[in-house]
Amino acid sequence: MRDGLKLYRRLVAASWRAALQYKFSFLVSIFFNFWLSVTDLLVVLTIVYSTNTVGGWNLAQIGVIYGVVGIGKALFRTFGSELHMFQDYVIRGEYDGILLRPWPSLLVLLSRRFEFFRLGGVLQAGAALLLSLHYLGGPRVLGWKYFYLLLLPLTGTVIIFAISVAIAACAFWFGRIRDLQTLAFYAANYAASYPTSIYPGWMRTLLTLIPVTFVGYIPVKFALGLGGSAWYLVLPWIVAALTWVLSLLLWRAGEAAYQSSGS
Amino acid sequence: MITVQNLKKDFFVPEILPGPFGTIRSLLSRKGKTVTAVDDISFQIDQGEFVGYIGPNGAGKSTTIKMLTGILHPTKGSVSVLGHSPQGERRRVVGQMGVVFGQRSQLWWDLPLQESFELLAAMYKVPEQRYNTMLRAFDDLLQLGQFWQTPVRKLSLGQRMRGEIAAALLHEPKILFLDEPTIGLDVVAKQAIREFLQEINQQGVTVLLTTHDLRDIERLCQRVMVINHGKILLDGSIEHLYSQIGAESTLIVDFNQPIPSHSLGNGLHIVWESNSRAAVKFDRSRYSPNDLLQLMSSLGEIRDLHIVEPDIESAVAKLF
Repeated sequence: MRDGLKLYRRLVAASWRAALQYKFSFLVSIFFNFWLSVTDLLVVLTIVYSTNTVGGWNLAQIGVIYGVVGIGKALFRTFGSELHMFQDYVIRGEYDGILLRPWPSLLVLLSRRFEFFRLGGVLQAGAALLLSLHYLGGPRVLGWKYFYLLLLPLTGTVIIFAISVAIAACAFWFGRIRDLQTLAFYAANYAASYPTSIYPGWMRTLLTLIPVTFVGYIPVKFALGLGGSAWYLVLPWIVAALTWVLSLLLWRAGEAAYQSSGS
Repeated sequence: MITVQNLKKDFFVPEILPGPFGTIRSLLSRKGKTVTAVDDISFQIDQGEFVGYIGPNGAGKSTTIKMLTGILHPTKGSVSVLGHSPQGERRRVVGQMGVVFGQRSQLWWDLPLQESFELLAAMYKVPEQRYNTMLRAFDDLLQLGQFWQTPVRKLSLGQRMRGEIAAALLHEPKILFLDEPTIGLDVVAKQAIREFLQEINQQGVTVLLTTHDLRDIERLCQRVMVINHGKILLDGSIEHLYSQIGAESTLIVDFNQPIPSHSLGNGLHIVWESNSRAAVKFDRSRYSPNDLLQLMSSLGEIRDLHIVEPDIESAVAKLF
């Protein structure tokens, strides 16, 4: 485990150095990514401005969910870009090379490439989270829950990664999974940036099964005093652990079914 | 070292439905067909052997290698490499093999070759002193120093292949798998790589080589296995292979002026492709190209000539 982390750090550092070879272009792309992801925020702002509240949540409260989910999404795109592209590994048979290394395959896969410019999105979502928490009164009003919410993107990111591993694993059987990824991952994450309570029942069930609703909505709801029980604060950890176990089992079964490609 | 018993691999080829949400609909329909790529093969390879594994495209070569290296899981049968299953104990087994897939790079595309090697050394936990010794040896044999600082994507094919082979050997594997290592290379680069492989094998590394180039096999392999339609058709020495298929090369000669049709005798048969171009098929074990050249130059003044080697496809076709 410790060895694995050491290797991972080393590979991140190499990729970081490669990105910095073109410093100016790197900074510009972070800047653009920041503003590009601000457009997501504009959509939220527009909706809430025209209706004042959404499902009984005001702008700052939604901003907390948005920030938590947004940080998870952007961290995923930064450090999980190879999962985003995973169908290509399977279709072109490039996964062969991953399996030839004497390390856990997911570690090797995830250390192949990083899209550091997407840290711009992390900055943007982080700013939204901080501003929303500030607007809600900061630590004076929220007390320890302020710090809970600041750390919530951690479990959120872990859940988002686990979901994306499960969906990527489907490529081992079905090859092309872009549609599935778009529907079950990106659309679901987008939907989870709002309070899940605004959606019809079938969609709430879907968002619970996938289980993006535990990334932001469930814990934020209780932490901001909008209902639920203290359980809601622990659930994300349990869900994160369970989702990872299931995802890793699926990944392993997928590897055994991997067909590579003709050469 | 490598033991393969009744190995079989079926592939399921799903039918992808066209149109929107095609993947999700094909996911539910599961229509498709089963193709057998490797069909009940068994063999054993001992330490220090240099084995050529040949066959036409789609014969099952790569599928076999991918099962030996733990990439694919067999449908039936068993593989044991160094006493372990490459599927069940993948990480343990792959740590002791080196693999080169000619078509696919194992190096970091955007990093200089040197940095790729340093990352590999970290990945395989090669001690620093050993690493330096290995690098000196590689540089002596493959002259990696010339392009040490060049990003991999900027290397020529020959340079990259030298880098790939050295990279696969950095952790001193006991077994080396090579899939088409000389494909697309010029004669000089091919020669450098062949000499290097010979040297490695003499140091005790077991090598399994797939290739389309019969000259690779002739120079390097003590043993050849021929596979077609998933079955092993022949397993023996290179002489045994040639006794089955004949090692007929073709010498093509262009003369300066038209030559009246003429036969050579000695069991050699000339085909006149035009009145100034002749093609002679000859058995390399009986005639050297030089003998033949002397015979041909007695017919007239030679303008140009080249030799066409038999390819694996036509060689294997002769086996059945």
